[in-house]
Amino acid sequence: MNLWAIFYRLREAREGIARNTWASVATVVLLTLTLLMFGGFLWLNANVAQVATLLERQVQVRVFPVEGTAAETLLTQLQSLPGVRGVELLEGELVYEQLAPVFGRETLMNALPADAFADSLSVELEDPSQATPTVEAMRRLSGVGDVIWGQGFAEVLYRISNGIQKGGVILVIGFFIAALLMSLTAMQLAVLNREVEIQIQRWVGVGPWGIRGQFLMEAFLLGLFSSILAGAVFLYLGEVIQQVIISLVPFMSNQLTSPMLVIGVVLVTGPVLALLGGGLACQRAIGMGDK
Amino acid sequence: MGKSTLLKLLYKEVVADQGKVIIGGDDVTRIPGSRLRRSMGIIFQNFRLLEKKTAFENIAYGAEVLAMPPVEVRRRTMEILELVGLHEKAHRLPSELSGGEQQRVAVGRSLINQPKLIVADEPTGDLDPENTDRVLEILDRVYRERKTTIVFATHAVDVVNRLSRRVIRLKDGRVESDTMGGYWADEKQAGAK
Repeated sequence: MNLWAIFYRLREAREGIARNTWASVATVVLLTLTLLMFGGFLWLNANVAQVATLLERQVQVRVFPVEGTAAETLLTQLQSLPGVRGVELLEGELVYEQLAPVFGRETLMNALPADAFADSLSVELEDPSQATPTVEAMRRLSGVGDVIWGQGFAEVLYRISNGIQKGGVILVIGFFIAALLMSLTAMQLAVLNREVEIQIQRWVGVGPWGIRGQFLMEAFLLGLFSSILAGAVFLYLGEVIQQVIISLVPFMSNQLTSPMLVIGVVLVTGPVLALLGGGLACQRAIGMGDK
Repeated sequence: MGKSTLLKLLYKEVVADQGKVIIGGDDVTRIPGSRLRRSMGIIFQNFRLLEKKTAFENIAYGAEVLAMPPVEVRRRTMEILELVGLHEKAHRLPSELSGGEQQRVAVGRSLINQPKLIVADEPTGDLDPENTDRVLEILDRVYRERKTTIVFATHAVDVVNRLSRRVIRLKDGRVESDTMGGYWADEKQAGAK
């Protein structure tokens, strides 16, 4: 296909879109919604998975003694447990001073209870993958109150992430099918409206792919327009949501997945989805052969 | 087989299930339809113009869809508008043209890609005598000046006689006669399909 062919196809596609205004608008709206849903789930999932991975790497276990028990008294018992490499005493005041620059003193004061910075013990494990039985053994020790284990939280996050993935995938597939059908219908209308044009193109010797090219170009433009709309929404909302998350959880500032990645995926997905619909419509109406 | 079906076989709208169709020494059953039709111009009785395009655009369309550069499209279209006598009505829509003028636009469209062969299926069937004359004049000029072969299907005796060229008469799907000139005048239309 030479440059003039692209120029003429673009012109015809633009005229076609203008001719079927309402079908085109409906296609763009549905495609944009589908892409927003798709991108939204993609981004949410990427971030939840990112946080879970981050927490999973934090295999240190924090042990808090029950009220009235000094943290130092648990040190030897914990050290003697199988699977424990080392135990370190963390003085509450010191921990507070370490966290304050990261989270901000005000955030810490507002978000956590007053006894949150009691003395505790940090336990390093020999094999993080075998953490569960060691943690259970710690919980059974007398004088041990709470055991906070990063991986436990990570597992919860993974469960949430899986839930989002499953629900999201079903929803996205539903929207994908709806968008595909919409694009198929819009293209079928376009083909029907241009029956005479298709005949004339055949008579002057345009091959099936040449005829199809015009409709595929139209579908591509609809898909691209939808992608750009969805991408613009992500660009704006992505920044806003990121700022909100960072203001709530400052340590996440370097951990969030950039919305640019999602925008890239959305920009490719829209035209591909529309081209699929356009291709199906053309195959039905124009056929494949050049008899 | 009628005359329209015969013409459809020539431009491969219908594919022969037996026998051969040979144009210029080539068996068309072995050539892809699109390639074959690029060397042809096709004209129909009912014009088949694009209602939302002007006379100029209708003629140019045939070249544009084959990706001809715009400068060349314009040059050829202007030349054809001159040939068919519609240069002053180039920017009118088909609805603003008479039936005869619309058919001249259709003739112009068939010429845009400089075909070696024009296949015309009853092109004067819907026209009054005056417009029929104009279309015949244009096709005669194309035949003489551009050396283009024209296969013209009609059941109108006077049209056949006016052209006075090679006449192949079909009856019941078979060639009944193949002669030069307009001998058909004596036989009228009786029995011809």
